[in-house]
Parts: sequence; structure tokens; C-alpha cells
Amino acid sequence: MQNYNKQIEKQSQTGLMYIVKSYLKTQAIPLIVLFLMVIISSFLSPVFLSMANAQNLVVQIALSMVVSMGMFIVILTGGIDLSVGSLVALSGVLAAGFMRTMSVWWALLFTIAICTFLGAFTGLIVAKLKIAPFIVTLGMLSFVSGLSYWYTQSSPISWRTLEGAYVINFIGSSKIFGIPVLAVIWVVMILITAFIMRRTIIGRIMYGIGGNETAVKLSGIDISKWKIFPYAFSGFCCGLGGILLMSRLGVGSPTSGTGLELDCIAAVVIGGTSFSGGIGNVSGVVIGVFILGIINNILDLLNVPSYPQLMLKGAIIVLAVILSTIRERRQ
Amino acid sequence: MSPIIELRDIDKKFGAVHALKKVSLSINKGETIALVGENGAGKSTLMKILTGAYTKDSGTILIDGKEAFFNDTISAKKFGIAQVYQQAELWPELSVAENIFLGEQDMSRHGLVNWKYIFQKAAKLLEKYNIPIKETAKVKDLSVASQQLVAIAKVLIRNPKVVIFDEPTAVLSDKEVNILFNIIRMLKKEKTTIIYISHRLEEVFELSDRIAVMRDGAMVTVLENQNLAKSDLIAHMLGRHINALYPEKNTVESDEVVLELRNVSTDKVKDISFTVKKGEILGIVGLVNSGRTETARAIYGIDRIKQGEMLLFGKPVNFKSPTDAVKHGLFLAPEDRKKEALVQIRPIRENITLSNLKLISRFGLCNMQKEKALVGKMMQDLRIKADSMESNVNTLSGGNQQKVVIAKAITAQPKILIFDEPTQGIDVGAKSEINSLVQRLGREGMSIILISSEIEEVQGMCNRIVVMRNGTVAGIVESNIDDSKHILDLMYRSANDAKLQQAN
Repeated sequence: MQNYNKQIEKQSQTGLMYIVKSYLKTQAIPLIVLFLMVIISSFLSPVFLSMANAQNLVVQIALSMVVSMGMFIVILTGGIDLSVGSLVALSGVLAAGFMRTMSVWWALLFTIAICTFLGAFTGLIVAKLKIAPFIVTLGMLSFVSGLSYWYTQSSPISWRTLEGAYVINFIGSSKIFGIPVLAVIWVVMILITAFIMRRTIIGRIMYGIGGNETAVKLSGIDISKWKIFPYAFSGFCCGLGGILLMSRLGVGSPTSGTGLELDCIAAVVIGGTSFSGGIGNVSGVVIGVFILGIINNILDLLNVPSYPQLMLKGAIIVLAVILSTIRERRQ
Repeated sequence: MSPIIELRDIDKKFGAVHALKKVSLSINKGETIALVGENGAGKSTLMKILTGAYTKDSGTILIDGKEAFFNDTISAKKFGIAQVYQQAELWPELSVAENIFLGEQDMSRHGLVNWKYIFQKAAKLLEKYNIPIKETAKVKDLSVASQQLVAIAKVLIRNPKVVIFDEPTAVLSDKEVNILFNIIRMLKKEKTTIIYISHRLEEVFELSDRIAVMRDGAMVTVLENQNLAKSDLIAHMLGRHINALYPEKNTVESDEVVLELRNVSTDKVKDISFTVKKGEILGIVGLVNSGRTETARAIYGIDRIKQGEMLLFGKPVNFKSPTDAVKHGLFLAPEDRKKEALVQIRPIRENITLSNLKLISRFGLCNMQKEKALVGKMMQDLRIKADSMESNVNTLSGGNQQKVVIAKAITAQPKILIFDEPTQGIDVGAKSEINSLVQRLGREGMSIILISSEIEEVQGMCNRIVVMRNGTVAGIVESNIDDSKHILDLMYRSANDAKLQQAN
């Protein structure tokens, strides 16, 4: 009996050491890859480890970091969101467009709200009508992209001369104690996502749905309600991400954000999230985004032209997914 | 007569489960041998080893006196061993003739499909065995029973030496059963060897030359089908008697009815009526496809109730989903731990509290301290053995996983708990522990519906037992008055039998 009590005591030990240990266990491979990439990159280019490049890197990854948070929860629940790129573009053009007629704060709020709503709508179709997310989000991609072109008549909307441009400028170009505001924003987004996934019942249910939807349903949880959340959250992330991108570009452009879905899916999967759902965590996704960001960054530094860059990136992404699939099969 | 198939000391384990224990059986050429036994006795496993779907751990298979090594189903097919499966695996969009020939080599000539030949030969085959189906009909337009006959024709086209029938009559009506029996008699005349697995003992008596009885993975006996009494056969199938696996039953029951089903019908069950009292452990027993799990699904709001009504504490209810049912104080501990009961890749802690997230959260935020205290107590209480409450459920043994299912059910704090096969696939020790737990819950005032395929289990656990057969209630028995033979009789009695009784 005494032994048994000891065992129970051991069971309640979930201190820092436990978390670090389990983290290393699940994230070992992505962490090693990231570490090796930093070392190799610093040999390849002398400027890689400079402060200026570090600042540049954290600004470059802002968009995919924010959008990957949403993509993470979608993939974790066994879905996929192909509409992120077009939603990001829509967010940019709407924010810039709205600024022409209303205060900048209302413009940003409306933009994010609309993107969240569109995401929720996708989620509604996926959850209630049980349609494959691949198809629904593909349709949404086309719909939203068309909406952006229609709204802008296919020419970008500049915000620099509009009232309230200082806010967007602050987001895109300012630094707080040497840290770009964009980086502060994505750090906050990571913390919010991690909090949701670790400390709230939403996170519990998301992991549950990904791991075994039937078991969650039979536990009395209304799946068709909860499955809307990942897509709505992804829409929210796209709304925010579009504003970040617009703040860097100087315009809201309907062509921006193209191909973003591939970057985000890759980051999520490289970070150890399982395509079959239920396995993965936020910190892994952060590592995934950094790995892809560094690849982009070092290729830029080495002056590799953009088309071979695309080819290389595609190859790396497929390779990463192959490796993670093999790892899953072994388990 | 020399044996065409000889199985010697076939042994097979699935993890900790010893599915076949040195099973030996020799089958003569041209004879019809029936294989009987309770669910999980090992009949299907043995047949899967014979057809090469599973590989044996040890033992020998002799075919025509020569040792055979079957690593896949193809080599068994080459020897002329063919199995008719329980569920028809056909191509619904194709015609009957195409279905019969798909996978056969002689359907094409020089790489081109010889349509005329296929349709002619299919028609001849159907005619020969008196199967009243048009060879040009699309399979999806046929009834389930006719589809089963097509599946049988698909096997016959190969002129097999040995045909295995696994519960062939499960989906057939009387008319098709007669067609099937006619086919089997014709095959017998052609000196085809037949292995016939069935739960319906009358069929076994009618068709077979010998009857092989399996129990708990072992071959109990092989009986000649001459002057054999049904009661003797059942005694062999049932074997051991109820022992200390079952704790003392709760004898003090309240008369308060908590749940009442009145002529409830869904797509899968019909006309179900019974009551559950407060603190009662009501047993539901029946064969596979008898409707026992489907009844639970109807109560729990998974399958919609089409007719009849359900009363909860005297008030009519109609659950649209499990969420509804849980809100009204029900909980289901499903049969399949892996697919339905637990999120295998998540920790014990999260699985236990998933059934009642309100208990450990406020405004959507989890109170980890409270959760850990609750789970810790639960694990100690139910003696769940694991490295830690953070261990993923898939690292636990079957018995401990089942205890997690119970912990999860208790956490839901239901008034009525439906327990589907709580002790399936777990060892004896864990079995008796789980049985005590269920009795304790009953004494504490929870009403429990215990679903099982084992008569022993419901007899050991319950005072009242609902026996199901063919999607409806065959009878409700008192376990202290009625003996297991009576229950078995209710479970197995076929439609023919019922008619005979009516005629008498």
C-alpha cells in the first residue's frame, strides 16, 4: 500500500523537469535540425549572425508565424486550411480600403472580424455538413481571392497617405527596445495560442478531436459546435497576419499571400504536428516556422534567385513531410 | 478416409491474449464439419489461420498429408480453400456476373474482357445452384440477402475443394436459407469439404456430419452428429460454471423506475421494451448483431428512435445526440476502447476528465490543481497502474485502460450508466476487480445497463437480464430463477423454431 501511495505521489509530479523532458522527447529532431541550420548558415554567410539580420529574420517570419498558429489548430484536429493565403490578401485590402472611410482602429477591427467570420463560415460547413475541409477551404480560397480582386478592381490600395497611417507604420516599422513591433505581436500570438491549447477546455477538446473524434463525441461534447473553432481561429490569424503584411508592403494588395498555405502547412508538419491529428504542440510549430524562415533568409543572403528558391523550398517541404510520416508510421 | 486438412497444435497469441491454445482438428475429405462456440472462442481466428489471413505462432497445417505454409490468402486459394465472408465484400456498381468473375484469371482473353463468356458462365452457375438472381442485375440493386448469395456464387466459380461458411445465414431470410442449404447439399454430393460456423444450432444439427466445439481458444471436443442432444452440445459450449469472478450481488433494490423503454424501434432494432430501476444492474445479453449494442445506441441518442417512446424518471425524452443524453444524466462506456471510448494518444488525466470538463474548469479555464487532485484520487481508488497520470492511455494494459474508461464514466457523475462489454479482452484479475467496481456503483445508487455477449457475466452480475435476438427482445429473465440453458435457448432459437412452437 505504501508503495502504491508513493506511486500516486509520483503521478502528481508534473514540474518543470517533466515538461522539459517531455518537450525534448517530442521535439528533439526539429530542435537538432534548427540548431544545425543555425551553425551551417553562420558558416555560409558572415552576416547571418549579425544583429541586423536577426532583426530582419524576426520581421520576415512574422506573417507565417501568426498564420501558422491557426493552421496548427486546424491540422491538429485532422483538417486543413487552404484558404489562408487569400484571406491574408483580403485582410490587407480591406484594412487599407476601410481606412479611407473610417478611423484606423475601426478599420482594423472590422477587417479581423470579417476574416474571423469567413473562417467560422468555413468551419460551419466542415462541422455541420461534414464536408471535407480540403474542398471547403479550396472553394473559400477562390471565393475570397475573387472578393479581393473585385473590391480593389485588381489594383493595390496604398495606405501611406491615409489618415491613421501612423498606426500601420508603427506596426510595420517601429521597434521597442530594439525589438521590432512585428516580433512583439507574433510572440504575443504564440503565447495566446499556447494558453488556449494548454490551459483552456478548448485546447483539451481540440486535442481530443484530433486524437479520437468518436470518443469525444460519446463523452457528450458537441463536436459540430467545437469543430468550428479551428477555422474561425485560423481566420482570425489570417486577419491579423494580413494587417502585418500590409504594414510591411505599404499597400493592401490582392496578389499578396499567394502560396502562404504551403509555408504554413510545412511549418506545422516540420514542427512535429501529425497530419492524422491529435499530436503536436505550439512550441514545435514555432521551431518549424524558424526552420523555414532561416532557409528563406540564408538563400536570400546567398543571393540565390527567387525561382530556384521556390523549387528548393518545395523539395524541402515534401522531404520534411516524408520524414515525419515515416516517423509516425514507426510509432 | 484420409483427412484433407489436418491442423496440429495451432497456437496464436495477440499480445497478452491467448487466442488459440494448441488447437488440433482433422477434417475428412467430403465431410461437413460445424464449428461452434461462444463469441471469442477462437473460431474465426482458427479459420483466418487456415486461409492465411493470420499467421500461426506455432503448430502445423497439413493439406492432403503435406505440410502447407500459408503466409497470405493467395496460397490458400491455390490449394482450393475458399471462404464466404460474413459481410458481402462486393462491388455494388458492377453486375452480378462481373462480381462473380472479378479477380478470376479466365475472365479475359489476350488482355481483353470476354463479356459473352462471362455472362454465359455466370448464368449457368446461377442456374446450376438454383440461385434466383439475374446475372445482369447490378449488385447495389439487390437485397442484402441476395448479395450474400452472390458472394457465395463468387466462391463457387472457383470449384473449391474446401468451402468455409462463417455465419452465412446471419443476413438471410427463410427463403434464402433454403437456397443456401440446397447449395450446401449439392456441394456435399460433389464431395466438397465444408466447414460451417454458426451460432444457430438447428442449422448445425441439420447440415453437419461432425461438430467441433471451441471454448476460450481451445478445442473442447469433436462430436458425431448422431443422436446428439442439443442440451449436451450447449453444456460443452458453456463448459465451466460461474465462479468467484463475480462479487456478491446487490439484493436490496429500490422500486423506483429511472428509465423505461416502450416499444422503441430504430433502423436496427425493433419493439424494445424494458425498465431500469434505481441502483439496478440490468443485463442485456445477445449474440453479435442481435441488437444489444444497437439498443444502447438508441438510448444514448446515437441512432434516432423511429417509433415508441423512452421515459426518463417518468418523463418522455427524445435525445438528438449523445450531448443531449449526457445532459440528462446518462453516460455510455462503449465496447471499443480504442475506437470509441478513449483518446489513446492523450494522457490518462485528460481522458478521465473529458467526460466532465465543467467539473475542472471555470469560464473555460482548466483548474489543473483540482484536476490533478481528482484524477489522483480516482487512480488510487480504482487502482489504475501507470507510470504517471501523464502517461498516454495507449501505454496501458487492456485492464487498466478499461479502468480509465470507468474512471471517466464515474467522473461524468451519471444517474444511468450504460456499460458495453466492460470485461472484453482483459485478464481474469482485472475482470473481477472491474466487476466489483460495477457492483459498488450500483450500491451507491447508480443504475447500470450491462451489455455482454457472455451469459456467465450477466448471470453473475445482474438480477434481471434482457435477452436479445434478431434485433428485438427475446425475453426478460430473472437470473436466480432461470438457468443459463434457458437463456441460451432464447439467444439461439431461430425463426424456424418460433414458428414450430406456434404450430404446436
